[in-house]
Amino acid sequence: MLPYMIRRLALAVPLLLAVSLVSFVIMQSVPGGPLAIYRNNPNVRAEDLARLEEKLGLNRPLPVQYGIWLRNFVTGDWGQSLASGRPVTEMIGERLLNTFYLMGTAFLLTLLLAIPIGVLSAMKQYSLFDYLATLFSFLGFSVPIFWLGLMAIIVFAVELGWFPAGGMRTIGLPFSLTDRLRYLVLPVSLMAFHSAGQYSRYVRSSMLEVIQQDYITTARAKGLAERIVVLRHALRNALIPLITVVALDLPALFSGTLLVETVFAWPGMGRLFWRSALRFDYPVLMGIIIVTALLVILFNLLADVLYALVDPRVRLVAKGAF
Amino acid sequence: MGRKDVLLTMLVAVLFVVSACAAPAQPGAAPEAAEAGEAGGGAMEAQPASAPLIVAMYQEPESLNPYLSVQTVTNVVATAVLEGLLSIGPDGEFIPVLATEVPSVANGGLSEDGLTVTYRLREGVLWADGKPFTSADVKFTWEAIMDDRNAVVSRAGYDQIESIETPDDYTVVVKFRELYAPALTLFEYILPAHGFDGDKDMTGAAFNRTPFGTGPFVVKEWTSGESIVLEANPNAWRPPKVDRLIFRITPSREASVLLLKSGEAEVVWDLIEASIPELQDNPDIALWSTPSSRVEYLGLNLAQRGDPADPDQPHPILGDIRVRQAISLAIDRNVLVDELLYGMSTVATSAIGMGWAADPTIAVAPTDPDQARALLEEAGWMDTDGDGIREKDGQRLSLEITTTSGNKLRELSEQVIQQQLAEVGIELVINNVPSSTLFGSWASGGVLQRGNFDIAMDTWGPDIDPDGFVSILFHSSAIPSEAGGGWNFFRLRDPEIDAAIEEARSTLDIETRKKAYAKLARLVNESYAYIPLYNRLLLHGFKGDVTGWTPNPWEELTWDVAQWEHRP
Repeated sequence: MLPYMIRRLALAVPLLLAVSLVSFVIMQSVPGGPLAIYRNNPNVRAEDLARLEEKLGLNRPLPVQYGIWLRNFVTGDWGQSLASGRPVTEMIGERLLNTFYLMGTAFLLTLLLAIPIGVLSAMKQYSLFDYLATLFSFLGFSVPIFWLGLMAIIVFAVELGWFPAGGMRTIGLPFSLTDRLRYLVLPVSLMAFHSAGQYSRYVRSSMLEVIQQDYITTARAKGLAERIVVLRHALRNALIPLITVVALDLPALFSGTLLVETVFAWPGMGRLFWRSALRFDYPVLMGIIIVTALLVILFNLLADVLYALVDPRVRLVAKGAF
Repeated sequence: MGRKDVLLTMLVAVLFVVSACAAPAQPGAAPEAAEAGEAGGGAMEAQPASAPLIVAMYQEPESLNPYLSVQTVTNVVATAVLEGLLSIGPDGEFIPVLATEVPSVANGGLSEDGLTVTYRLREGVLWADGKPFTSADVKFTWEAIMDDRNAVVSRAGYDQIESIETPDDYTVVVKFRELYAPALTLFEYILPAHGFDGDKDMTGAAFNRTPFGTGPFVVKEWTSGESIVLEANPNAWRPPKVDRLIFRITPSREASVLLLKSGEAEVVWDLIEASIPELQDNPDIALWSTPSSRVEYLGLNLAQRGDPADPDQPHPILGDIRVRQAISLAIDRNVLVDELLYGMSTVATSAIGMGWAADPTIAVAPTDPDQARALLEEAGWMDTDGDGIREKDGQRLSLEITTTSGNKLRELSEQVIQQQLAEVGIELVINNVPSSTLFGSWASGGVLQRGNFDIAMDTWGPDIDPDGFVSILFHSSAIPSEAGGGWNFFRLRDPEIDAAIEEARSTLDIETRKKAYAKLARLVNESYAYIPLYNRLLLHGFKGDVTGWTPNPWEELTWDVAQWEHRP
């Protein structure tokens, strides 16, 4: 398996290069540019614009700009934001943590809800619980999260006053777990509601498939307790397909979710990316895109490796298709 | 039975996790938020003596160094921290801040030729870190702005300064290379010379994120995407009435308003006219509102539209001044103000409607549909086929109006104007585009720059010194072209207008300048290329128990932040 992983990681390098080049070209071809916001300001004259262009290196030919970016990037210098002048690594770093903190909690709750619901639904197929779970999952999946988020804020924050309307903590207070949790409740429950439904459907169908296999019948015939049959024999195998789904969703733990961050004023990566895109802040955008691409590659690899680990039928070989 | 136990255990575990999130929060949260008017949420409990004042704003500053960013939000925060030599009061007059008086020829502050400005500085003012404020700081500010290592956005005016002399700690003599009419608007923020490790290189300096100054507050902590926390400046000569001021960064105006309603913020920066009905009747909320110098206007294209337009080819319809005047006569601006702005703003009289440069004798343009019809007929536009729209030589009197899409107030204004013009036989077709398309550069095919429109609706207005604004909008040298130019997208070419603009900037003498601007404002009105509609409102929201604020159309919301307090 090790040669396989090394090969996959080596292939990631040209892939990242291609991603950076394509992103760079697309970004630069969008009309506007980082100085566009100054264009109708009478105080920012043509000479000011020319000076800024020179200072920020925007007047160099595009291949040169890309070359400089790449050279610096490889040596660990991700550049400075064109808007704020701050190091890109610093800007991404502070958002990564916030995003992980929100998304990680939501993800955990999602799995804790989705797996039992999926298992129960499968074991009691076509029962009232199954129908309710189905309804719940389709509702969660189909109601737009930004609308639901606003409704939740109006009801639980503005009207009832139970939870804060947005943000990550009470500003100015020293760290307090209960304070942090209060701010997590609304966004996390909404995200869990949104994705738990989806995941529970995977668990349910895969569980239904597994439960009809001969070895389950065998296990039952041996006289094993039903919970051993379900938990040890059926669930373990039923979760294998879920691993792929989950692993492929994991990059979002770091790249964030623009809608939820926007509705709940969460200072995460999604908003940083959106803001940088509107501002044509090329170095920040490049940094976020590379980080995200790297995460996607890594978690894809992780999915394959985990798959091989839990499913003895799968063997990874270095010659395997990429 | 066995499997049920397991599943039940799992369910209980899930419920436990859910309740672990919710349970500890509710008892603490409910009573607090119920008294939301008290402000500050949990912070109240921790430090009852110092309830912070929380301002919600939907944009985040890029830097808090006002010379490295020209965003309004940068200035909103910087104004609470840094002070300038002069500021501008609600009535548009200069007020001395770090200077002791406004330089004038009478008090010896201005030389006769207008090339030398002498400021007397306030003595005994300390920086937040205890060091004295002196003339060296003013000189440093200029030198830092002019230092090539700094990505200063605008050097306008500062690059006209030849030298700054500091004969003593409290005298600054600024010598200009050539006359710079808006000289007194410079030095809006003075930076501490010792704030950048003794260097003039501001790039990446800690000061840009956590500045300190002579103002009422100091920036303590800036958490990106979330908040900027300020504390009272212990050495302030105008000490604030609250200990802490917090700017909460929200993703949208709507989110800010929700925070105001839920009691998590007490001030909301920058509301729009559309939110008036929602907030006006709320007894807990007071609106900070004042008409501003920014005017909503119609810009008429004098050149035949094209991509790009040729300024030498007159517009087949709008090239005739009688048609343009008829449009102005057909519009009843009071309907816009009364119906769309809830009567809170005023009808605009000219491009320079407020401040010392405004001429109060200019009247609101008249509304007279009959005269409009007469003018159109005189110009040869008749309704020959009886469809209500006039024609001439087989051409319909049909024009396109464009503005930024997604702006409710503008869309409604367009519909009102569309109806009013229809009554005199002019068809108006609404075709709005995204603001990036409307205001885009020449190279990116911007609609205004290229002249690819008939009538555009836009907002713009002068600073307290109108020179920059009128030069970029009305001077014939500002007609956009591939080579550059400005925002004279009307393609207005009037030697008299050019002369008035140049005369106004040729002297520091306020009376001469006033006369020149009055003449300019009238000439622009008479061109009917620029049709003023109404003054845009500056609008902010306050919780009812926050007092001490005064609207000022010329300065940022925080200009009087030292006076703000919670009503006892």
